[in-house]
Amino acid sequence: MVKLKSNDDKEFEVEEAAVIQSEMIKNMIEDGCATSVIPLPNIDSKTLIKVIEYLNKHINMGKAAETGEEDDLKEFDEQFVNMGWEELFDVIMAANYLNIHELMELCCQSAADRLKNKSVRAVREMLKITNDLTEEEEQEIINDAPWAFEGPEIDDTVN
Amino acid sequence: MENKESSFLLLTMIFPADPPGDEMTNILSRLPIEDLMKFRSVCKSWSNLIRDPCFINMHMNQRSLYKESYLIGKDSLDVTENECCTLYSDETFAEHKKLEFPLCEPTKSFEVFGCCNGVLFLLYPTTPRSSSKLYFWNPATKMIKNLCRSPVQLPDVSNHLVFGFGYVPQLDEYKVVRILYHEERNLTDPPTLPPVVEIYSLKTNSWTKIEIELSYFITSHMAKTFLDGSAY
Repeated sequence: MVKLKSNDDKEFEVEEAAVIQSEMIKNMIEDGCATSVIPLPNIDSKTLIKVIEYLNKHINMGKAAETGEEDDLKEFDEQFVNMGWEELFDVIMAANYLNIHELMELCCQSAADRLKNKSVRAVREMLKITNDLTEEEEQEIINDAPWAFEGPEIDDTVN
Repeated sequence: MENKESSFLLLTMIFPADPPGDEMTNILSRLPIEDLMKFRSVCKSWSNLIRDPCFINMHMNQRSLYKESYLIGKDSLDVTENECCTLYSDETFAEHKKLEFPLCEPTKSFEVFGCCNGVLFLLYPTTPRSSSKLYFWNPATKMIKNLCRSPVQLPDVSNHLVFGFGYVPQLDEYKVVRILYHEERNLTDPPTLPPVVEIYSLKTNSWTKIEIELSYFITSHMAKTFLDGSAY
């Protein structure tokens, strides 16, 4: 078992087989730097719980194909990314920090799917981005490719 | 004080806006080109990122986006209509999308000499030859770029012109090679006069003559293939 500590001082015990899906922790264990508790100063407990849930489910990725559990895993992944935008982004940051390739792929793709076809206004609101372009700069970009800013498929809703 | 101000200005010029983190870059690289063209206007850092050559490469290599490849076909059955192209699925040959050539004028046609990374290299209009110009056309961004004319004039007498088009990843550069033979092509004999070989570079928008011995004819001026960094 490996102990992980979130930035709000909560400790979690995870099986080594699960936790080594994180390249970062795998390297730490191999280098002998993971003797007691591994502190994760960038990850809060709420996010870490989600990450551990994923790691435990994906523990036997290779075996899933043999035992026909692939569909089960796919369904889990679909359910897993069904979370709020901020929560999803926290998991992406954690997956990037811990270097968990599959989790990064899953969550970034889900985030991209949510942004697809959105209007510029909706994206700014969803991601709380302040527009720092001048009016001229913005107009120049629009004039460059006016076709990209029109069309019935553009979705102005925020969710 | 003045010094301080100028060094601050310099800093803001080097770092015009904090780049989006790895995570946001990863997410944006998964979006289709239509969304990226639009999202350049979200904020400065997105605008800079989406124009960045590294990001463009990352986007081109994104497997989740480009699961399929397409064949491009030129529809020129009716020359009175706006000339356009059609993309076909390379597996089923089903029609995928119509593309409109941005310069199209009735009765005028274009000729494609090469294609690489989704960019077409073409000549328009094909007649009259004196007004023909060379273009790069990216149907995905709908952008078109006119190449400057080669300083080497085409002779009035019979000649044979061959083009090759490709992308040099080491230089992140699109290049064209133009070979001008001063005689009609000949399938059996080598050229009697040395051909003029020139290279066009997109970054400098200029042609450079290169010294190379070419003792054979490249006969076909169409049907060029670009693969793994070489034009065939």
